[in-house]
Amino acid sequence: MVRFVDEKLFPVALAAAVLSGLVAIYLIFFYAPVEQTMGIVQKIFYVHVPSAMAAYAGFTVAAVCSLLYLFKPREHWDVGARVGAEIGLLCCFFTLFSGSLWGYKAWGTFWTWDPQLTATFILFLLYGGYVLLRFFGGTSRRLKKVAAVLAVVAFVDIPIIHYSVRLWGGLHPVVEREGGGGLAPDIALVFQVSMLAFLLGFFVLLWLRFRVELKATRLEELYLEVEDLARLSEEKAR
Amino acid sequence: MRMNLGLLFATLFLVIALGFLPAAFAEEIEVQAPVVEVVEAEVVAESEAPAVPVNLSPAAQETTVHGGVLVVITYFVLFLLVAAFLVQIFRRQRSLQRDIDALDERLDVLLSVEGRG
Repeated sequence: MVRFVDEKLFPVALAAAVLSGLVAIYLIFFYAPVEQTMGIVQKIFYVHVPSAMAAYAGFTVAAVCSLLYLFKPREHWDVGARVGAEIGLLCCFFTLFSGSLWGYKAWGTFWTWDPQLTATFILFLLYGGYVLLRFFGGTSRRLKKVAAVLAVVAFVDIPIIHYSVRLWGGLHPVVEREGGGGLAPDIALVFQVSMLAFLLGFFVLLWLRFRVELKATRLEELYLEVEDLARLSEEKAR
Repeated sequence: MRMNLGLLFATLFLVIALGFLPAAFAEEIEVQAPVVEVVEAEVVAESEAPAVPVNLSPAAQETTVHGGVLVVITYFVLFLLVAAFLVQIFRRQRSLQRDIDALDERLDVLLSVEGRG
């Protein structure tokens, strides 16, 4: 499975990510019209929403891998959870950052305790805590299980973010309507290309990181085997 | 190196989380003059007033920071984050390769000792 993804799927995804990224940049700056009420700052929309989706994707990977690890404690599930959370956290930070800049022009303030913003910030804190736990907590199996539980519980915040606007209102617009969004056709096209570029980019970064971390885990196991072999050789020599 | 990266990340995370504290106590920025007044000002003194798009929201008309600057900052930070992440991955890969080479050498030594034995 790993070899199939590495040799067949990953090169295609990488090429598609680079190509779609370049096309997205061109469309955003040379094709998409300048929005009437917000002006040029509205172009942040084309990276703000896709980065939020990429964050959700990362945290979903973390939660699913964590759940699988709890049932079957295999190293690759643990690595997948850690990597998913890291990339999700990176995307979540960018979502908050880009949203703040956009909000400064659209709402007149960098930050407000709007329900969706607050819930997203809580998500950032939860998975930030997960990543810090993995960084400083060591590598014991018990810690990995505790972290897995945290990743699964923190995932509950994502549907809360998604439905917070409908439940509690706030400054964020309701982005999903019956029969599709309310975007103009040219803006919708650019948004879709940007979303594709972000999700492909997310997959590329996820796989690169996963591959490296999985190799690191295997290397540690090999080290232990070599040290065992060295000890046996010394005992034999004596 | 791993510990240093972890400390750096923890520090950044703390700074970002604490950075939201002032926002909790900040007052709302006053809304700028309504669009209607700007339109009237344009009509009355077209040659004197700076050109302001009619349909822009009050906050978007605020001219302290141009919207284009915010767009550039956003995209620059995006590329910076992706580049930093890729650099970190490739550095980790190089470090792993060094460890693999060291392990190979150790294995060769052990196997040669076993052979002689």
